[in-house]
Amino acid sequence: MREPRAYLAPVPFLAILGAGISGFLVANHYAYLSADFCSVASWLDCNEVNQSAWSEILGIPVAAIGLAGFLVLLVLALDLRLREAPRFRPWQMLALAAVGVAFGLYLLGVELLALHLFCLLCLVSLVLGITILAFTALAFWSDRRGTRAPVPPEPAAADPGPKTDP
Amino acid sequence: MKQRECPVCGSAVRPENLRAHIARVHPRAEVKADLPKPAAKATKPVRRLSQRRRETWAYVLFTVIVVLVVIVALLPRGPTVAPPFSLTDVDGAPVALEDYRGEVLFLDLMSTSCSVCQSYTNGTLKTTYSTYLSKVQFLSVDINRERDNVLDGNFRIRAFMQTYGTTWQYALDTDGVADKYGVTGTPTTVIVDRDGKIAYRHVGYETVDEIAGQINRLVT
Repeated sequence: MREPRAYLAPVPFLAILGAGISGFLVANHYAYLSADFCSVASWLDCNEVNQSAWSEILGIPVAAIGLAGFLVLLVLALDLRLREAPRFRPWQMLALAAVGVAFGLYLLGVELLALHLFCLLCLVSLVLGITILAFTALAFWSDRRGTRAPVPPEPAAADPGPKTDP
Repeated sequence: MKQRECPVCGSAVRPENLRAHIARVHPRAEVKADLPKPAAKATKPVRRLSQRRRETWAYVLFTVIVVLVVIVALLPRGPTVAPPFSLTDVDGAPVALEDYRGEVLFLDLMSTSCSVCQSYTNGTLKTTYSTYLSKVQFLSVDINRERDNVLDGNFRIRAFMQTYGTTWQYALDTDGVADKYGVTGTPTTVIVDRDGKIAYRHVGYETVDEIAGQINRLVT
């Protein structure tokens, strides 16, 4: 089994890409810009979705929440990948990625049931989130297996010690 | 399995664990025997550092590429000289760019189905039109995202005009105006000056004050 950080190699790239897409959607939301490449069909139009009544939660654009999520995932992934002694553990990243995917699925439900149209970039963003979740789950599993590996028993007392030592 | 005897307690210990065993179990014992070195990983940290540096640079480079792509996607595109067009308005009257030469033209490139265009018409254009009626010519062109024929398109535009109570000139884009003006999204506002040059261009919603600032620059 590979070490946990090995599974996280693609995650920073995916998180950067997700942050870029979310950043574009934030600009799209605030500028009321209707990007034509986003209007693929009458049922596939991120301009309409991103400027609808569902595009904000408590005054915060959902794209901005996505941007924050991807940036935090990026920080966690870089910590786990690059630091010799990471401050965070894979389970923390797994929990955040799971929350992000759940939020993305909620937005997909809104598009499907309330708006009856889809946002292409939001779907790409959700796919990125699911991919990050999958890699993080592998890292978490690997980390858990590593933690559960049998530890050699410590000697019960000091000198004179047991006659055998692993 | 190869094992060595601990010089202090006599336990059988793997050679690579002997040093750690003595340090842990007999911390005060002074052992001068030549102990085998623990499993050496002398070269690994150096290799890892180099790998990490390369990886960090890869992340930085990828970030720069993504940021550049996003900026390019957000940049407005379009010509500086207003491309000529020739249309027929919803009442059947011919309308061409040349007709506005010597006047300031407020060109609203829109789509009746675009929700931002609807709020822009209702919230900004109606007020702007009533304020600058005598100084500026107004023309709204529906870019025909629905790909309607002229009859259906004009019917749709008339319904839009009735819904929002607009009274200025509207025409269906039958001359590729959206392509000529590089429309990347709606609403696109283009203000053409008296010389036929594009003096202002904006994609998206704008307030009355923002529009007024641009028009005042040209009509005073």
